[in-house]
Amino acid sequence: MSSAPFAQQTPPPAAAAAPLPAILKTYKDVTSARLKSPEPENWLQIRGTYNGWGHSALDQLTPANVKQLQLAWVFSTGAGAAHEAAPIVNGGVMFVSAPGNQVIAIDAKRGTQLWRYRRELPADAIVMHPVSRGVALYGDKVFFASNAAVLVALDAKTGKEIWTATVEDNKNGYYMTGAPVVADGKVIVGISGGEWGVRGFVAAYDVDTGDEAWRTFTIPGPGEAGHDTWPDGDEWKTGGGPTWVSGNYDPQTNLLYWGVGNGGPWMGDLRPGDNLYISSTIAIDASTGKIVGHFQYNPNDSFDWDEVSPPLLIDYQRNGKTITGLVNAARDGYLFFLERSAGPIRFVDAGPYVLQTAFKSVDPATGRVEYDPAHKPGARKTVEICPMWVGAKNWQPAAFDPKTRLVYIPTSANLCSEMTGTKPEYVAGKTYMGARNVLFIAPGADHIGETAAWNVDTGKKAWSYNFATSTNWGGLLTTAGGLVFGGGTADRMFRALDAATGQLLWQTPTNSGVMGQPSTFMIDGKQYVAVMSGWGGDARGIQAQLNRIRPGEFPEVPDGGAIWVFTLPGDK
Amino acid sequence: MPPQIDDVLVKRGDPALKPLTVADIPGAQFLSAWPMAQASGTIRSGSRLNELLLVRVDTTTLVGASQSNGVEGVLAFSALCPHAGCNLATWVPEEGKLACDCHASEFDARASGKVIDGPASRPLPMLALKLAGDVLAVAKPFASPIRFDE
Repeated sequence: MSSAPFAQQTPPPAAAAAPLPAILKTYKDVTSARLKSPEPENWLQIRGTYNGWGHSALDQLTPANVKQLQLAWVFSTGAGAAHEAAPIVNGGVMFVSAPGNQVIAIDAKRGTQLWRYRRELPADAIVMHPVSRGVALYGDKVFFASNAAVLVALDAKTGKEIWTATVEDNKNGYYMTGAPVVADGKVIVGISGGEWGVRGFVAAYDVDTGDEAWRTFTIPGPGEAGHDTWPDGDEWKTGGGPTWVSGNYDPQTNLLYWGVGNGGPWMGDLRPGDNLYISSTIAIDASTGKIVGHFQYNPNDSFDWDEVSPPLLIDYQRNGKTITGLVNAARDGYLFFLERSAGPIRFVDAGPYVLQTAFKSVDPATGRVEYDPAHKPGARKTVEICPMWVGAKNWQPAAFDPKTRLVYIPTSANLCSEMTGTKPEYVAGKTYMGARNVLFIAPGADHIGETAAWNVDTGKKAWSYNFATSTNWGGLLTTAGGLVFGGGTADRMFRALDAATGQLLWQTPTNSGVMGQPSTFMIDGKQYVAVMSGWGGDARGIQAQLNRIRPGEFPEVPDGGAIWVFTLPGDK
Repeated sequence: MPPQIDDVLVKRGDPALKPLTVADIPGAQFLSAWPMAQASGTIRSGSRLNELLLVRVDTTTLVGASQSNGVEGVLAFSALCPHAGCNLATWVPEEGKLACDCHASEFDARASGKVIDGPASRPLPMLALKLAGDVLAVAKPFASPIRFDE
């Protein structure tokens, strides 16, 4: 060996591929049966179950012991921006997707990294919201909707790519932010780009090969049912209707209930007509992709009221009957009760859950809303709208507790805006919006955020945990132990409320604002609760506007993402 | 390739590819433009990151680098909001303000694209201009690659 520093030495023998850790060697394939009836100790889908309840059967954590919750581990994702995913757990292996266009597999008990997958994005990629709401599992694969509109199938044990499918051309403003859904043997994704002149769709791919099985446009073309709700010109081609949140699913009818977003451009008077299926829930046959039913919340949407957050599949009582139902806390500020079937969606009833000035009336038979013209935006005018364009509840999911019969809504209350419409020009790859918003707080308001609990059988508000200085941007989780978990506020807190009374039982500050969807799982007889903290997106934008109205009262929330996992003290 | 020294500027959608002069830049609206390689006539429109917007302001209102980076009150900026990459949509000539519709970030064109209000955390990138004969040309490239907070 030479005595010079950094002398060339004989290179070591090529390392043998590191053996798989035991926890990955014993990885249990996710099957259709497991997705339909998941074990309580696992969290196999972003909302726990196909009905979208965000509910766990685990009851080790209760109102009596939750104050003892302590940190098990915390893991930095290495990225900033909004961290919105739900941590998915299968047999002690946690999978999270995060900004930075990445998926991380973590030993859920120890908090140690198993593998990390990153997909590079072109520097000029159009990704207005560089987020991911989670991954999907099936077989031995993990499915990830890469931001630049490529669906990726990874090997769950190694994080290596198995196949990829280009879903659409990102250069035309199509990007992806949602968690895929696996149903009927297919992996199904929606698309983002409502501000970029896209024509929205939902697309399904074969889980093994990535071959496209079907593609269903949310804006019907000539000859397709609903096309006559668009003007005769080319407006439908850039009509919007993005589908950026995972649908819920009814295995009994094999129907997906997918939410459809805003119209393109934002001002409805530039595209007269109801504009099906923007601002709607559509029922899609998972085997064929055919739309077999729909309900449109906001015909001719002119508010940016994406109704992408899908309704929860809840059966509820009405006038002495059990309705096979859908319950949706809509972005437009009304709580809708609908009936689902093997086809059409039927309106049951609806009422406001926040201050809402847009609707003059709701037809009791059909649910069709009539707008107050003084509060419906248009190109070249300024109009006040309540709720604001971001809505009374945005994409962040509500949760249901079958024992309390309450649906818990992460609510933005008393926030309105002055919306000024303009007529934008469409150019592929450029923003196509046509509206400016100036936020204001409704006079006399004493709070702007809530975790609100509404009884699905009576349609009445049971209780509300109010936030004076923050709206609630976080998804909610309910547990059979009688707890509601969630964060969502600018004070960086993650909280547990009593599911029956709404009393605050426990809270802890995290590194940033909690915008993730919480999940819960059990390993070796111990229950854990996990959530991602990381502020960004509209939450950051609204915080800046709030601080503009009342300088100094709404300080910036620090940037940076991490996964937080909590459990009770002790080995058990 | 990003805008290079000596590139001229052409109006987006102009089939004649006429290099822009000071007189071509209105005061009331901003003008969307691409840089064009002066020697070859290649427009650098292959990447959206190269899109520019040009505004014209009263030279007596300019502050700091805006004074030296402009030509007779014509200033060039990236067309994309540094927050999340939306195309800037609003120009308020009385205030010299460029604003983004997506999340309401605002930038002061007279003060080198400084952030007036967030959520953008960095100024709107400014492209220094000069005169090449009669036409506007790039004096210096962007100080750093165009990128976004989110």
